[in-house]
Amino acid sequence: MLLTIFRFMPRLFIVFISILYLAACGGSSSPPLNLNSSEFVVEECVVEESSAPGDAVAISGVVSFDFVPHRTRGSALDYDAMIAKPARGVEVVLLDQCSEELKSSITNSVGEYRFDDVEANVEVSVRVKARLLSTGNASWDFSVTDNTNDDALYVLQGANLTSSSDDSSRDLHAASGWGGENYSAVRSAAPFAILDTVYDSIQLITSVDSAADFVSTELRWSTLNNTTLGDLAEGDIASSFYDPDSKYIYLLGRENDDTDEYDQHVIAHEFWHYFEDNFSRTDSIGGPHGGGDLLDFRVAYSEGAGNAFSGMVLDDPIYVDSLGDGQLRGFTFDLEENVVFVPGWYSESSVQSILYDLYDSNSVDDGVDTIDNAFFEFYSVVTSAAFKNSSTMTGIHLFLSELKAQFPNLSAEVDALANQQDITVIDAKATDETNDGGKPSVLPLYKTVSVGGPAVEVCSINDFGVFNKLGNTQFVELTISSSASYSLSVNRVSGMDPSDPDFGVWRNGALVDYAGSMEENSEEKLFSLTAGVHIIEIFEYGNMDDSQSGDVCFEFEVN
Amino acid sequence: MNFDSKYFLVRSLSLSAVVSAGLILGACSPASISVSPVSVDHKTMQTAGGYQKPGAAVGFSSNYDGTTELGEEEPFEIQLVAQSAGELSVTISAPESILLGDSDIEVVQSVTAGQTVTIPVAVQAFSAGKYYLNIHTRLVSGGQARDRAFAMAIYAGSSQQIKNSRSVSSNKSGIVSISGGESVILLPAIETVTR
Repeated sequence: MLLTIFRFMPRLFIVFISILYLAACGGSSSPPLNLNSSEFVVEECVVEESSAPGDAVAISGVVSFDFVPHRTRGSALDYDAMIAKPARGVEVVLLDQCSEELKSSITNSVGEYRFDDVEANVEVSVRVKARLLSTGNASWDFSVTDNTNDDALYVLQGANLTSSSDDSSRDLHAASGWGGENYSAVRSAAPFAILDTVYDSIQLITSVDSAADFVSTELRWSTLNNTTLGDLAEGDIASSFYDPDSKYIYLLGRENDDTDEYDQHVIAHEFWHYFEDNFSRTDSIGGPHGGGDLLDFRVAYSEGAGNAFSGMVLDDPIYVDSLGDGQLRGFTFDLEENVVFVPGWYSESSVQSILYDLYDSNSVDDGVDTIDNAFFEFYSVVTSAAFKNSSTMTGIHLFLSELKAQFPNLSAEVDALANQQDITVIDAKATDETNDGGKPSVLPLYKTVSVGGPAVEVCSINDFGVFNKLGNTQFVELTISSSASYSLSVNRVSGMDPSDPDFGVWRNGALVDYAGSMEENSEEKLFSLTAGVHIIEIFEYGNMDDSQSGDVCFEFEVN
Repeated sequence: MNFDSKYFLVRSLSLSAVVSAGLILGACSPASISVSPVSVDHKTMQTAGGYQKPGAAVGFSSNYDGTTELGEEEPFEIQLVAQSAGELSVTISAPESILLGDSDIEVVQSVTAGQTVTIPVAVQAFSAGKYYLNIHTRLVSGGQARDRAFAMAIYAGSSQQIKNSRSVSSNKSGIVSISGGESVILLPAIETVTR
């Protein structure tokens, strides 16, 4: 057991003492340690009485953590430039000898906490939870847990020491664990570095919404979290990502592979996905993406907005992600960059350029950007009922058309920003959009079909990749005047043969039903539809999973 | 049509499908690990399976069979698919626990969009365990450089040997305690006390 403790308790005798005590202080009411073994003898933990009762005392202090910045030039983590930063907004608890919580506090903006009315001359310890907590007008509860260790909460643990007979202070610092060439000690700072970016995200949002109610969630990080796709409990998480099902954010942590605890833009980017899932709306299907990709417009908007949001949170347009051996590699890109490889509504780079220009101040206006400090307007649109309940899918056209509608004073400036990225914004349906990315079949973004009317031709192409790339999917708008059952059918007319067309029916962003049989070259299904506008998403299944991808066109009709 | 690709849960189709096709672009949706049968004749709709971070538009797959005999050289191929034209740089390195030829593998070549780069690899392990090859990619395309890391798990020894190796070399990042009904990992603090 001691070997185990020593392994995690380098150098700090005072901490070693506190944990050794916890190990010995077992009890049925407060079991001290669970190392998944039977080596501990469980004993009743008894809190000793004060050795010299007296007036109550106060215990206060500052909580801080090591923060590792990136090098000024490039993306590598610069351990030589490490600084101590205050742990803001985290929960601090005072524990008795048996690890029972006596008092709780939240650190302020400079990392300070304070416990008043503490019994004098008793053994107590200070524990800092990796948890941002607020129950005020705006409320939140974000914690950092270990997906490779039973989802346990990380806590920074102080020593069991007497409260003495006078006020005292206990400052707790979480070290990075960096040993000069690699991580040689416990990486105590990492969970608090992660929360620091979440704290900044909360501050930005509550600056325009003082009653924001955040859905509680966990940020799951481990030193074992690596870039293999596999079992999350073994750390094989593949990428830092937000999971809309669990609402958790998973973050990489395996050194020499990819670590993200100090990659603030990455954390803020994933927090955006949490935000749009819980505060706004997204129809993005997720998946792999990059700045040069021509993407499904739902993905381009979601990811470009995530990049822009990260810059807004950090007030820093240079997105940085470090990775590789010694965390010495990685890449950067500038959210202020307006010259995009292939600009358009399908480019996350175009989206991020427009959205960051909404946020930035007039001191950094560039190109045609004359909008300043418009985060309030950005937030208002993405959280508005009109945006969340739109019949069209989420994309840059929907966002910008709503921005123009809700803030007409910005219309001219918005059009200028959009036009700079070769985007035309008339309405949410992208009417009059002319940028086809070199593939005419991708326009219009929404074709129209009517009940009993002529069939409409749609194509699914793989020219830009599969799954979430431009042209994999096409959308058709269908307006139903009366609720009834309707037959929707898709039949191949040209291109790849055999094909496997599938389609889904959406209503205000919610999937109504799906037709996904294995029948070759056709798909037909009866749908019970209610009056209103529906969006039909049509695609070649082979262009979703690349099992047999290719270009193919279909006729779609409704009867 | 890949028949197996028809068997995905609604929320797991997104990247599982890509994985099944051996085209794990970037780092595929980690939320899509589970693959469960739904129907033999009906697929499901793709919806968000996971929103991942930006990175190089590079796909990864290999024909590694998932097992490596101790002491035996295990040859296989790593395939990287460039989604955009440009210059692809690849570095493959291994932990000290396994041999990867004489040194790290480095490949730099121009690629067209959709081009697959195949890299032959041979590993050799002498002690049981789960190890990771580190595969670092960088794609310079359209004047922009993006990186993406892929780790590839190598399973050396029998499943029982690997299980045993885990029990003696657990690399957990802290100690789990049950405190007030809450599972916690105790992280050491540098504590300064002033009275």
